[in-house]
Amino acid sequence: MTELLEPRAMGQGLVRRDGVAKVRGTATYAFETPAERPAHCALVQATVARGRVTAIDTAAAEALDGVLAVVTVFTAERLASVEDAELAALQTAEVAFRGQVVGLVLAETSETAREAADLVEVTYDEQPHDSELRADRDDLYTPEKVNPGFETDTAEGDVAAAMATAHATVDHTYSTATYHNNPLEPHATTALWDPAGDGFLTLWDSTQGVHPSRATVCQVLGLPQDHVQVVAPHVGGGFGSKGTPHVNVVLAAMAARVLPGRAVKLALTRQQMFSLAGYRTPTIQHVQVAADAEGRLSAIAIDVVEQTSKVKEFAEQTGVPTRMMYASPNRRTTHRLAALDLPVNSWMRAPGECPGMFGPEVALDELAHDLGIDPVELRIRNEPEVDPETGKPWSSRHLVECLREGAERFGWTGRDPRPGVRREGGWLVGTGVASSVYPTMRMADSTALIRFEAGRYAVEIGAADIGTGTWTTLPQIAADALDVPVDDVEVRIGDTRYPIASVAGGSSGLNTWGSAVVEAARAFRGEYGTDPADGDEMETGVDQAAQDEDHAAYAFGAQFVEARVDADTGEIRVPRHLGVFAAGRIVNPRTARSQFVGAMTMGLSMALHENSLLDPRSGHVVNHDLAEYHISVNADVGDLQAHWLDEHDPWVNAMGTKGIGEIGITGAAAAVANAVWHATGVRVRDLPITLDALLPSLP
Amino acid sequence: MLLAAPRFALPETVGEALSALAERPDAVVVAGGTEVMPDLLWRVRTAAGFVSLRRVGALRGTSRDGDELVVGAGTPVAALVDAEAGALAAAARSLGTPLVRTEATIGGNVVSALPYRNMLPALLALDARLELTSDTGRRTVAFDGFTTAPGVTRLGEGELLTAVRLPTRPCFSDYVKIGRRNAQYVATVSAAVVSRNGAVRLAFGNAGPVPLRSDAVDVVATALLDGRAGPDDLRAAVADAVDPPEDTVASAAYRRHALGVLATRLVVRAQVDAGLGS
Repeated sequence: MTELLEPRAMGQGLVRRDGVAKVRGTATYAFETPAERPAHCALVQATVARGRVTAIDTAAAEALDGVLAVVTVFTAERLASVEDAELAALQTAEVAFRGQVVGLVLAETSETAREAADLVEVTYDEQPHDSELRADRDDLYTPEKVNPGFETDTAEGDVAAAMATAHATVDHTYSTATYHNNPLEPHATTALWDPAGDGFLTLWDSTQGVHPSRATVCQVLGLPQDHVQVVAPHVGGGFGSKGTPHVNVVLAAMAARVLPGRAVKLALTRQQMFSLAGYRTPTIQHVQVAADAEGRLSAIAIDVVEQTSKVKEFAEQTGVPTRMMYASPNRRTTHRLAALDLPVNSWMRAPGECPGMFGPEVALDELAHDLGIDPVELRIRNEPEVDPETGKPWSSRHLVECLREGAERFGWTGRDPRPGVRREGGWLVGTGVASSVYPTMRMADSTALIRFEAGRYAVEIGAADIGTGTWTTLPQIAADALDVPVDDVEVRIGDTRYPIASVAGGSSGLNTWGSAVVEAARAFRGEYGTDPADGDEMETGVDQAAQDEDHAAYAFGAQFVEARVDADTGEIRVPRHLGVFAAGRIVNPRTARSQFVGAMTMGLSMALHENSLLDPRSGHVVNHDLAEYHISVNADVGDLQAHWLDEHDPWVNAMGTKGIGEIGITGAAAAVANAVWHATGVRVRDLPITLDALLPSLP
Repeated sequence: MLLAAPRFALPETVGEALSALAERPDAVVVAGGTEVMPDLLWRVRTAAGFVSLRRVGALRGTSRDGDELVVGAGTPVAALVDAEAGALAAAARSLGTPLVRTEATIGGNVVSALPYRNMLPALLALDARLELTSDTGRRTVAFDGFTTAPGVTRLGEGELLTAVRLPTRPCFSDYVKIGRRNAQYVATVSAAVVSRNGAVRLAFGNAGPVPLRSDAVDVVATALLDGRAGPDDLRAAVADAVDPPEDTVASAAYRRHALGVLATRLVVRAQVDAGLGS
């Protein structure tokens, strides 16, 4: 058990320290990094989904006034490592997906660079491609592990036997669409290769982690770590798509090496983000649930079919939440992949839990209706005492309390369970519920330095603020760990010049960096006491040995949604959406609420709007811009509330935090789908829920 | 270069604009740029040159001419959100975002001529006329029939759309659209109504390749207004008259159905306005 910090600054809704700079537009993002006479980089992308580049004619591009260089798969420098095929930029003439980068142009202005990129003539030997995900493909394969290292399949007991003998069963296939992360700030880099000595590379990059990004770039380019600096003070969202460097970062570095001493700027266009910056695989989820008359589960199973790019395997862990969410003696989860000629899919907010809390949470709603049991009560009846998967006790688990408090706040009591019978004017009205879950993670590598400077405490760590509030919340933790007012703490983050920090991913950022800060603060006080001298400093890493391994640690939540469906047109509105979360200690209610409601909105968006439409003839996402890839807008969000329980978890870390960046998106789409069913009686099992899917069956 | 000076004209009067166009017959005329600029950036349109109307002050603003409201073709949509004609105001209010409405012009909406454009059903229902100006003078044509195919109009070579003329005779008018989102979306389908002296005129967006209206529909709509026909009659008439597209947003069947719903809703609103319904 960890000794929990006494919260004084923690728990206060302090305003963002970087808020004024962001509102005034003075916060510097990667692309805006001041640089003298920067060169601009534009990319040449493959227009076939599979094949081989046979020739590239760069004459017209090079003849354009203002063009500095054109680099192609035939002329690019050879990289030190091509092990990661996604990052092996310009190393092969083979085209593995439409949109793959086959060349780049450097020019005096971005307009000239783009114009020149258009003038590069690429000739292909085009080959047939395969880009269609179907559950009945005969070439689905079993990956060795699923992200980030979970078993691919698990089984306990006999699901088939339980299904055959149960009082009630649900056996349906659910699907989620392809989604693109689409942070507001596109992936962008300003890169400078300093020719002095052996060369020194600086990357001002929009990244979720400067140190992990540097490590990857060093490996790919064959550079020593102390020759590369990555800087990212402000990041306009990432949602996982900036959690690992994508090919644009490598290309920016390569481009900078073409023009030593001159800064090079490369920003992906919104359209390029759809083929180069990762996305969430579509999933096909066969879900089976068996229960007795009281609703106690005797079996729960999910068999997932999803895709990976042929270039680089990414196996989303969609079945993982089913392993631990509810008590059931018979359980099965499997993952099968189709390897396709498509861009590389990767992390997107709550990989695994986000799609994996759709099918099962809708199936439970179906079971509740079949059994005549309230869906809140059904979940409570299947609360496991220990983690069903590992048998470990929970570090803390308050799903039942979230469900009860959410039901109370939402006004769930007395809900008429019948679907499709409530009309207000022309609207069919219904309500739905689903659970949320996200594992509590802490990364192995993070070190903080604390220095006493001119009467204040400076905290240095290469952490990231991707809009989550790290600039504001890390000082709150440091202040409590040092037992000083928060105004006496200054943090310095977002730069590899500071001690190593882990990625802002897996909702682990504050858990990990905060742990390092607390360790450093305790060591600092142990060494220098409460009256340090100017310049006293202490650098300490997160104490991984003290990481509790004896408990299953997760954040939980419950989401409630009211949906209204126009009885004549099928138009869907969500006037109310309420979540209650048990996610450990909340360091800053202001920034925390922003993360919860943002993620819940992203879940609403997944339920009703987002849908990357792949044309299997071209291997191309056709709605590759924000005009056609619809994300929920302000007018789609009604009364949106996030609440949380005052949860104390002594096992997770010294702050008692569980991470809150991702849990809000999990279960949200299921709650919307369940509410739409309750409103209309139409059970839509494929996302997004569209007007014309509802219309034919409306009452 | 994208905007090399010889290919780019920035006239300040209608006369200069016509001259600029005569010198660059292949140029694209740009007003607010909300369609042209994304097209250029996305490389779905190329242009041999541009004539920008942004500085032609005479094309902006509204005035009265007898019993017509004259809306300069360069008037931004944002200036129409409180227009007296309810259909015009509702179509303007639900177009894009505030930023887009500030830049997009009514003339651009008309000349881009895509069947889902917001303003088009409103103009068709209101029986708008278009003022077309060229070196040889000015002609006025009905908006009905101006669009001949998606993106194609009867605008002649060297001719500019300079104003949209709308009758100011009192009427009830309104506009509705359906989409998947609650704001900032292209109409899956849309409809506009004008009800004047007991006669109803309906017009539809994304109901076919061009903005669409039908005498047969209006006969039934008028009958519905005064109780001689029922909603099902109007829905059937609309279903017969329209030929909506099928795409990834919605099926043709959905659109056909929804157009009937919108038509009925608008006539019911007209009934309420006329004191005929509740």
